[in-house]
Amino acid sequence: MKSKNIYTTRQHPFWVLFKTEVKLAIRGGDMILFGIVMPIGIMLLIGFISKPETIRSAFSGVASIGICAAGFMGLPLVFSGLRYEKILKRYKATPVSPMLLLAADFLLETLFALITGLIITLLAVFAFGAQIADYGRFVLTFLFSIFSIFSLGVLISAVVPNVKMANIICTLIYFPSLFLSGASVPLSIMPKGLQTFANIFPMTQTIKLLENAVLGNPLESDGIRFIVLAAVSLLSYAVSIKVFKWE
Amino acid sequence: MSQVKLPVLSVRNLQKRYKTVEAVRGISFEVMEGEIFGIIGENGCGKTTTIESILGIRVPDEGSISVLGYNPVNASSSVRKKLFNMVGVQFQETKFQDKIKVKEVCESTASLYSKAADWSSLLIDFGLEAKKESFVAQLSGGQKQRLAIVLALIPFPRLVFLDELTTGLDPKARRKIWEYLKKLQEEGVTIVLTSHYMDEIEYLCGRIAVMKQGLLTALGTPKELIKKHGTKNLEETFLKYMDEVEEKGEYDEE
Repeated sequence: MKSKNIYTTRQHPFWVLFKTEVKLAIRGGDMILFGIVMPIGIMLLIGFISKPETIRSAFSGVASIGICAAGFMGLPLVFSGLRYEKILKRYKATPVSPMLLLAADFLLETLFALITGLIITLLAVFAFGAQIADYGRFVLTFLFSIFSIFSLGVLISAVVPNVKMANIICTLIYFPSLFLSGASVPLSIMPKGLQTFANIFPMTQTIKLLENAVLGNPLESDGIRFIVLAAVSLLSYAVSIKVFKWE
Repeated sequence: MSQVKLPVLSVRNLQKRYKTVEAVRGISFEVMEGEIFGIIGENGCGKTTTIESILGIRVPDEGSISVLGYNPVNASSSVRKKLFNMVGVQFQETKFQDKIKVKEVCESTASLYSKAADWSSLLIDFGLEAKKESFVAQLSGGQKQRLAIVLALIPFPRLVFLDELTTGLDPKARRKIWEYLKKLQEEGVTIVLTSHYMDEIEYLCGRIAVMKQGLLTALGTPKELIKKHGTKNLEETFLKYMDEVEEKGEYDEE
């Protein structure tokens, strides 16, 4: 029989799955549009119309739009889609764990967030002259932001019953996070009351952490923010792993 | 046929309930190496729950299962790895990721196994070679079904599960798949399948298990079961079994 020929892939299944997920994301297009193209547009807009100080304090928000899109749209929609289509269930009857597929998607969304962050930061620094006080702290804070925002995306993915519900919840979190956290509209131009309200969004906090890294504000004043975000994130990941619905 | 046939699958007193529904209420059977074993019964009789319990996707409430010498229930990752490198599965109504191509599904599936078949030739065998570059979403129902069977055969399985084997396939495609499965059997592959087509079951299966309301009502060769009921074919035998269920159900209500 012809099928007796053995087909061998030297690649680890993780990379084969990752490669496929990259292709699917590019074909899907929404992540490219909302996660990469849109923030670039916003950055250019802010860059051309604002004073250097404004650009300097505002660009960390724009750099975080990728984190927001990947965490609150990409992750929950992809995860709940895989569950809804029973692909995770199908993987349960294979030698590899369905976790591997989720991990490939987690890496993909992380890359989306990083690419957006990198492009926006390069634009802000080299095209619009924004200065970053502490690059090391900025990079680490950015990674921390991904870690914490994604924890909430994973939590939504873990408990949401279907793709439709995931869509509704994501919209309810994504858009306020995008517009009220300082990601697209700088917080400083908003009324005081709204600024206070915006504090409940985790995105607002991670963006403040980034801004403080850019401006070189003392790290000590961010202590509580870091601790609270880290605690919430660890809790989210722990709960997600515990309650994740495989089907 | 000089080899001694050993059970590759053994199910003992399997029970599984979902909240208030008792899907499977204590069934036992064995499948021998090289057999084509059919599980038949009406929708909701517990066929899929039985297969999913055998595959470790459902945790049984009661009973024990052994597949190729391994216990699939809450199996460790090393046991799963060894076991599922020898098992191929075609689930009922297999779905795929949005915007994925046929060759990508095959590639991903092949990557999961330590030894994988050349899926290009499998696509040829199942008449899908022209669809390699197509999006799975654009395939017809029958083509998707054939793709699902290809995926089940990619691991060079010793044991294959085919849940609702030829649903959605035209008669010609069904015949081709039957011939293919017979060839696999000759090579020593064991096949467990469910189907609603009694001609298919009669043609393919050496033995069949008839399930009704979560129980095993009959177990034997198609010939035996037909003879027992004095019907002219398996379809009529099957209908007799199912009528018994209904009559009994009416008594229960009284």
